Amino acid sequence: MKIRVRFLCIVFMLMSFTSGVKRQLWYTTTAKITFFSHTTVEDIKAVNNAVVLAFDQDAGDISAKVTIKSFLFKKKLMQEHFNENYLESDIYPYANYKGKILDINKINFAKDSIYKVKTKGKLTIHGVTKDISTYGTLQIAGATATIDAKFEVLLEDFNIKKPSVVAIKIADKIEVTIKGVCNKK
Amino acid sequence: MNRFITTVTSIFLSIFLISCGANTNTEKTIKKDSIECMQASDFIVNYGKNHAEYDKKYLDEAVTVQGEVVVSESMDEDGFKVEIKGNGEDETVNCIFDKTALSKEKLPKIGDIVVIKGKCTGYMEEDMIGLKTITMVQCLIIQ
Repeated sequence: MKIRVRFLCIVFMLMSFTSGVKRQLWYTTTAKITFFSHTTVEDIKAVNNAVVLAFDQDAGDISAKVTIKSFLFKKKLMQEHFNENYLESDIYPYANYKGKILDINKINFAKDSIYKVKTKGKLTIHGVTKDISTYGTLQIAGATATIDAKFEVLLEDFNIKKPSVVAIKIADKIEVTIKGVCNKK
Repeated sequence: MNRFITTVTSIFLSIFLISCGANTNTEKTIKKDSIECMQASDFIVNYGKNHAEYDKKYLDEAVTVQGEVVVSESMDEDGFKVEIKGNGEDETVNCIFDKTALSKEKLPKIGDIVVIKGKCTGYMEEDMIGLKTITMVQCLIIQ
């Protein structure tokens, strides 16, 4: 009987302890994503400054969400084609990434430094979800943590079709860059 | 004489129809603008409750939102950002300004009540941090 009571006490104490642990979260609502397409005919760049980026310092969970219509191009016609013909943003208005920063426990958040990081997760664009691994950096500087990563996306992986008329102007692989200066939540 | 009357009647009728058309258009525009002006807190709550319906109604549309400024900053070469508060600190309307649409000197101050017009690009919920945000781009400060 005594053993059972002790066991219950220990379980209760553990539960109280774990529920009291507060996760340290970081986030920004103005991370920047850049799409860059390079061909010999034309370079095309689109920028989105309204990316919601968040990560959990303890578990390593990371998430990025974006509205497709927030991508801005230099040429308005390109922006129209991007939304109407390629990304079909009326049907698929959002894109997101959910993943993990691997080995996040090796990062010392108390020390200002630049750390190399690897993330693994799922990227959803144009209604298609694909596994993706990226390398990047996490810079700790005072009260901010800046995430910087670059990866490539194959248009056909996400069922994004290029009309034959403009196919020569758009690369098959699009370079995606993401940068976000996160603050503590 | 009959032909003269017919001609004059036709001209008057044409002018009347054209003017009616013009009035209808003006009325539509004014009505639409007045409908789109809303409190940031209401806009966020209603968007969250009726996500799909509001996407259809507001995505890519110009909307005018009123609320209190909680973030106001320059994003260097990418323009400016102003965040308007919703019901709590985790609810915001995120307004992005082109660098030609605003200047550092004209950035609103934190605590100011502003009216901002911009193109709505969607509503996002971030479960990990409990954030609810509506994004508007190509914004202009109306008041």
